[in-house]
Amino acid sequence: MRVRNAWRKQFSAEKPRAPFSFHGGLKLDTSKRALTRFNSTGIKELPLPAKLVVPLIDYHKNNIEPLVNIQQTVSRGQIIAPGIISPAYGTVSVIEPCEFIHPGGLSVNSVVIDTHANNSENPPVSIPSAKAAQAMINSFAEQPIETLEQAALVGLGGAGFPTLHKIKSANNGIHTLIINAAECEPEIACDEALMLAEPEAIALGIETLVQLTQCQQCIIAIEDSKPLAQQQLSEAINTFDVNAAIMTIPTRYPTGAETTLIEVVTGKRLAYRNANSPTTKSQTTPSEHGIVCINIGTAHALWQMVERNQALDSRVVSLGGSNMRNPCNVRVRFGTPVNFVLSATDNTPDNAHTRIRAGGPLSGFDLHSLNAPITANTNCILAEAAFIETPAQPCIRCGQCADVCPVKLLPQQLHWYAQSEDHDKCAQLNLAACIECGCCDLVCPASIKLTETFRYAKSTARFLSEQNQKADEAEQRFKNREERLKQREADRKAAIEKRKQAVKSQDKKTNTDRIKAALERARTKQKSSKD
Amino acid sequence: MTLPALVGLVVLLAALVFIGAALARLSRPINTEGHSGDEQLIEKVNNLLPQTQCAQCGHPGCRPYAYAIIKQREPINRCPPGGDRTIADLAELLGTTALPLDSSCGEQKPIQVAIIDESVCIGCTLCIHACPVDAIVGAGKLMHTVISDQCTGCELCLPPCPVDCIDLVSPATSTSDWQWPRPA
Ligand code: SF4
Ligand code: SF4
Ligand code: SF4
Repeated sequence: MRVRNAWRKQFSAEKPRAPFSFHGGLKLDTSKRALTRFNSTGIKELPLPAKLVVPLIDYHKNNIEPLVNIQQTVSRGQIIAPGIISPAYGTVSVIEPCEFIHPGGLSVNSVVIDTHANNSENPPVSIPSAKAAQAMINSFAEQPIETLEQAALVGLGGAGFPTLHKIKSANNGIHTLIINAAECEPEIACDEALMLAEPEAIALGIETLVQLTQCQQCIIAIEDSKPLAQQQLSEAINTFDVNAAIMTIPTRYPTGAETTLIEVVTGKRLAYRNANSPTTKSQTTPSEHGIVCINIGTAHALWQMVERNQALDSRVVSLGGSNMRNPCNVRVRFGTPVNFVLSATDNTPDNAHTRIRAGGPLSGFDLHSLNAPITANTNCILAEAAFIETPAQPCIRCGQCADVCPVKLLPQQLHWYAQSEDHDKCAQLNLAACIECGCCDLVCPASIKLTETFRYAKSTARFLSEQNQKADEAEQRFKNREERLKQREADRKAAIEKRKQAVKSQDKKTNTDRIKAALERARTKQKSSKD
Repeated sequence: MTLPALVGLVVLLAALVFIGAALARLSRPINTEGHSGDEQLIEKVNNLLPQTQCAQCGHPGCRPYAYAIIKQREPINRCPPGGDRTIADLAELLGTTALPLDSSCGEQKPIQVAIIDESVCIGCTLCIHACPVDAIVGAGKLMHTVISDQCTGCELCLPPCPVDCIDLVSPATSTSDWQWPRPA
């Protein structure tokens, strides 16, 4: 520990570097509506609903098997499926397919929990003295990292990647830990609200992460549009002597996206693997470069684990959009249905034309059902007016889409090939790297639905490659079966042949003897039956 | 004419005849049996076929159809499960024009999988023998079931079932194979 302390002094003396830049992007209006009432309301705490719905899917959207049965009582934080915990004390009433937040309105197998009346409240996180906090963090960091499994920590930025996997997948150690406090999409303000409300808990969570990952440097990236939040956080960081430097980055969408943020903070673009092969080309992961990005919400959740052994079972959600009557930020227990969130904040849509969306205005999508539950990925719920569609015009080849693309793709060409279903060409032009940020859509003067087309083409390419794999497997089984049938036929022929040979090889005498013996047997049988 | 000149002429003629014969041999259409170029082409064609193994093309499986396309000049529009997409891919590979699907082979249907009504199944094993891709499990006199993940929806198990307990249904869309709708 002493070594670390010495190193710490040296590190905190280091001046924070200036941020780098990235290609494209857009300056959007981020006067966040959901934050307008922050001063009067802070982060609203929602009551616990009578029913919580926990979808049984993992990060890759694969189904997972539950570890609990119907009628079983579950405690808050109990593991109910691998990687999934119960968000409250209650009884499992059913396990059945339920709608979840999905652009297609699909259902997945879910655990429905009837919450019990005497559930423990969510007391505000207590903030110990700097010395006590360090002691707590030290003893937590000494435990094996697998303890984190119980915390069910996942990224709270919107994608929901399991944090433990992220840390563990950096085999060669972690060089740079980036704390993502950029939150660049308009309307989304949950991270900013959290920084304003509980900066100490975030700072302590960050210190815990620094100790857990043994990183060489930790940089907190905050956009320059959040001066107050930055000030709060930086005070907390000084108070607790956290080994992290704050980097103020320009407000430009989509700097909060993982790849872009890494570029802004380190000046490096993640390289491609097999860059020359259109089929196997893929982006290297940050952890391969010794970089890990963690959302500040996740850091906050980690402190809750350290301080009171509480797993991640709630998050702050921004409620915004032009038709949201009471825009605000609320802390919602996972599994709470969207309509409960809206009614508890007096935001139930008053006309049928209001579209309720999940996710930000650019990255989100319309919800099919308000029964869908909030999960770790739901950073924002929007209520928007009915959508007026502008018909797309032919492309005028202005090239603006390529200018704003943060991944340096060629949206115009990609759109052409995606529309003509030329998936090979799309792969060559690196469609898989598109982060679906929507910048190209926003600037296109011809109102071409570029991002929508890319989402479609990406999912179709994935589907087709899955079909191909299935076809290969079917072919293998078909071959195996043919072999088997051939073998069986050959065996049968061999057996017949053998019998024929056997008959032939017996000499005539023995054959006549056997016939005689058979006749004899028949006669005695007849006799005995007559008697 | 001197003798050496005559001999030279004969030798020259013999050489010409020999070269001509060799050229004729080389330019003859190569007997295709076992030729590796064709084998590769068959493999490529087979890769483009959907591997449903339904025999609607009139061949006992996709590979036999691929063989027929290359060796017997069978038209490329006889595979209903593959539909227009497969025909277009085949046309591109073989440098021919895409034809509309031969409707005498069948219509292209949306993806489907077989499902056995397990309460009616008498365990006769006939469907197991019919399934070209080993997607049905069960034993004599015991209930049978379809491994829906492995079923190609070829319908070959329907006719043999004596109690008509097999149905084809469209599979439930799972989150992994859901696709964003195509923008208008
Ligand atoms: S949506 Fe994709 S193609 Fe368009 S700007 Fe963003 S990353 Fe580039
Ligand atoms: S921005 Fe729109 S009009 Fe301009 S080149 Fe791109 S797709 Fe074409
Ligand atoms: S018709 Fe059926 S057996 Fe023939 S190639 Fe198509 S999928 Fe294969």
